[in-house]
Amino acid sequence: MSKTYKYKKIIIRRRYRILAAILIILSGGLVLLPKYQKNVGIKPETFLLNLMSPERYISTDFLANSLISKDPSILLIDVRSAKEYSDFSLPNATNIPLSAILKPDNETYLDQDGYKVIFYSNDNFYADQAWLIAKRFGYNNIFVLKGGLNAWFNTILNPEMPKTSDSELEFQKYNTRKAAAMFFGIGAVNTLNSNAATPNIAPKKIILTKTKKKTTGGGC
Amino acid sequence: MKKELERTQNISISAIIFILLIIIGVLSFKKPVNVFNKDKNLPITPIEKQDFIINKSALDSLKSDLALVDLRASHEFDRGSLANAINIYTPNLLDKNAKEQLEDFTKRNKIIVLFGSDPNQANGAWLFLTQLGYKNVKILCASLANDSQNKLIVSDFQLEKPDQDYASFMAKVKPANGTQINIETKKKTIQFTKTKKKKTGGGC
Repeated sequence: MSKTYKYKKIIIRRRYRILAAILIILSGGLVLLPKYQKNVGIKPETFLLNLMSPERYISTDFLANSLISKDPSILLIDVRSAKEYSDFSLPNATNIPLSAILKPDNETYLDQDGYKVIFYSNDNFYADQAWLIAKRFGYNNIFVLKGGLNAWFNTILNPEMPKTSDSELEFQKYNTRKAAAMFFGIGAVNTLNSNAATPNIAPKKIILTKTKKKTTGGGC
Repeated sequence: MKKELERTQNISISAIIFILLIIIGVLSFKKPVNVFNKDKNLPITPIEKQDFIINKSALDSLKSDLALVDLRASHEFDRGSLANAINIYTPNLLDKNAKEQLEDFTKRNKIIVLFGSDPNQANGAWLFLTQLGYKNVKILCASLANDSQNKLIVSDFQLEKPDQDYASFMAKVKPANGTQINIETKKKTIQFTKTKKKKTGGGC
């Protein structure tokens, strides 16, 4: 073994040692890096934007229409207590009390893409909370029934009769809602708002304009 | 020998590149400013205990311990608000000034009371701050409105109170003869196919 070979071998070893030392120092530095908490779910900034958005709200008319047409993509979740749910709930609703919304069994209702999940409560306070918690953990396709059961009662089950000065559109809406109420089991819907004055709608005047009978062309 | 030298040089170059990459990574590392707490039960616990609500009557009895935060827009706040309240419009909750004010209240052990035109307006902000780790945040259960003379009227709010006893209402209003419609009351049995949850962005 020549002298130069030995010398070069020493140089190579030294280089390896220096490199190893630098890497060890760097890895030690990584340990010293400040610990930071990783975010779970969506970012706070995105959450704040979602919080202000009214897109989560579904109207009672839309829901009634979906239920009557038996829309299979609707999944109603009642976030009230089990007692309130058993006393009265919307057709085909599932009960998940608000405090149990993130339990692993219930998360399967949220962690899917096939259904429009609609939360509801008596008003929309607790349903909103359910929505916000679910949204925070990154679940999509979730909505809130605007006004909750109170709005359901006041607009669908027991709609207020429009005033005589209201537009025809309002009367049409009222009639649709009355028909919906019958669908949802309200038989005596006309007696509910008995105090309301029956509107004096002027009967439609139909003016017949005699059309001149066309002379039938005959022959060739 | 020559080959070994070349190999060492290559290793040295790749090691230097590796070290440089680590240095760039460390220098460009930014700690996220706003991070939600990992604890899933953080918003659930106060909801279960129902201790996130503060009533109108407590405004006088706990006056010195409260820090009132009006979440309405500034033009609504300017028309009139509760005495000693500060205004932080909900979308501005992450602004530097707002955070400083909230942190100052927390340091002074004040109960941060959020309010808007009604508790629904403070609901989201409460959940937001609770999950960011703020303790002692509550919602004022009252509604605010200005009368015709622009005077602020604060009234009690019935949170989630049903307008009717729905069960007895439904029992009372039975369908007329012959109009009974069968509505499915069977609980939906749904086969869920669990979708792979998308990785949410976050952290750095």
